[in-house]
Amino acid sequence: MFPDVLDERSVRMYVDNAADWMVIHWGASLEAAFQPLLHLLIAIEGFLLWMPWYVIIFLIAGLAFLATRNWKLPVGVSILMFMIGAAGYWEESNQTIALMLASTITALVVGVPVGVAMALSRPVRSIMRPLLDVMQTLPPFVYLIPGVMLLGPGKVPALLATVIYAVPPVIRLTDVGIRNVDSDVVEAVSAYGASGWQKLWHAQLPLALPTIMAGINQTMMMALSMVVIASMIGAGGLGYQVLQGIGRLEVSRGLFAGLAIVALAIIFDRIAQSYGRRLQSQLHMDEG
Amino acid sequence: MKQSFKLAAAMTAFVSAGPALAADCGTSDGISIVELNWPSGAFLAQMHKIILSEGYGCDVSLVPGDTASSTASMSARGEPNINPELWVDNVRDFWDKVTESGTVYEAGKPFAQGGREGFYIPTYVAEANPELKSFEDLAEYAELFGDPSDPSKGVIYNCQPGWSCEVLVGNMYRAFGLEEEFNLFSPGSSAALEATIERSYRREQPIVTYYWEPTPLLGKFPMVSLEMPDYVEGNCNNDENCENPAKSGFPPGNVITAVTSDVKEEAPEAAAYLDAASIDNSIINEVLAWGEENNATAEETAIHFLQENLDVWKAWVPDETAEKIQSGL
Repeated sequence: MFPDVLDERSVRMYVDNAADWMVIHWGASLEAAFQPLLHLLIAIEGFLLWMPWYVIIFLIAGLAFLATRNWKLPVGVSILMFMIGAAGYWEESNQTIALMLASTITALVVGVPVGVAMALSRPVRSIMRPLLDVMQTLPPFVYLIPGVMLLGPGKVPALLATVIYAVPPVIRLTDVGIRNVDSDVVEAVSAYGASGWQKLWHAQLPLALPTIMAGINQTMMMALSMVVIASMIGAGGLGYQVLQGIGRLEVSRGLFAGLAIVALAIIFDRIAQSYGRRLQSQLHMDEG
Repeated sequence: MKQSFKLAAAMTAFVSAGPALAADCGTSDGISIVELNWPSGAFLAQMHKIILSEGYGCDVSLVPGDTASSTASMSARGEPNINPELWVDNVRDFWDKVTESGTVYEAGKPFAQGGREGFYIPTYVAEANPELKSFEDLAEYAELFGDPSDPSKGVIYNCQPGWSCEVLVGNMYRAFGLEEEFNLFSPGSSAALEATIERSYRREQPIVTYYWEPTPLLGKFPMVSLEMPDYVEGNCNNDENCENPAKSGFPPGNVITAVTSDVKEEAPEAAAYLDAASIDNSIINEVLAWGEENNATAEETAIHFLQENLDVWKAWVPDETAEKIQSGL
């Protein structure tokens, strides 16, 4: 076996004591710092639960229409949402949609600027790449339980954990998108006297938009896939129904709630992808 | 020719040595114990494994699981053979069914004083609020136990989804009329519940939560149990669809070692040990607290118990078996 090089037990106790110290001394201030996020989530959830169900279905179908300018997707989306409601998961689905939207918005606000910074600056890229690897592969429960100890159970650590898990795609794809913008275009824009900021805002970002949209799409999907884990720290929603199904060995409950999650994923994935494709055709990027 | 003869002889010896090594205590295909996923359950499972394998020479395997999965498996397939900590009142339907058909029997009681469930508040809250003594008093203290995401109400923490206490607590919450003043929050997992309790304790904030004994958490964070009325027989608090939940206390903590009957028939000595194995609650609490402080695994905790409490477990087994177990530690 491997030789005993260090005393892991005392290292672990040291880390445990440090974690306890953080809870005692930083707990209150961290909780206060995350209040805006909590308010965002509660606002979205409150809005979705207050609106009558037909208005919500109409709004989502409307989004689908704007993305495709076709009747097929809106009808499909409306049918799926109606079935979710008929299965008795309306309230839970809206809680899940609220969590997904709040995390996606947060991920966008944080991720796109970071992705841009990564594309334009080599030192930022070398710091961010290992950090992104950690965020995507470290098992969520590792930071979930310390999150609960620092921020309390419920929506805040769930939102934080979902953002940590879901933000890497949008960061990576923003980085790739900007770096892959046709260098001729970038040269031409500079030749016309554009400043760095103008170049970014008027040339690079619009041309990188389809790739960034793909990143947003992936972020939304990963946010949805975290719902079950998020419910393990009290976030509620469809994930909680799946968890109850598992715990009580009620196959039907877990299955139907799981199918509702899949339905939500299909709805938002189609809407986002269709919008991405429309963007590409508008920018004539699909013409090879 | 000579080479292949030697080889054949070696292989025969090897093969015939096989069954002699796998000598067991009588059961046809080994004994499986469910390693329950909470500290006392895991500790008991490991302790039984050490005693049965070192002392009785049984071929023991541990199967990770919890009450729901192990009772479903026991009643459908007769496996695992031993559930070291079954809270019988929480699985009444399963228990009635298997005792009637005779597939499972009650071997002994792992906790000499039984288990206890209740609603607990930290000792510092109990001292600061001497008027808060019973679960019914809670209605006036909604502000003290405020819900961070809904300041207009208090919050009571439930146990994890899938445990029968979840339904029980939900029904009690309704029966005692706490719906207006309190939210009932499901922490989602026992890890999240413990993290929440630890967090409140470290910051000396009030919290009221379902919990049970014996557990290492109550050893680490002393809490006081709120008084509840006596248990009302025949209530439907265990049922999700209970129309009129009763204002009843928790069912008496009847915790047993559940064993499948083939163990009794095929390995009577092992079964006799299982009948006798019973530990004082105070010793269990001490052992679990030791495990928690030293970040020990369930197996290390079981070994610690066996090393430190010789007089307790030696009473359960014949002397020569005790010798074998002790030398194996």
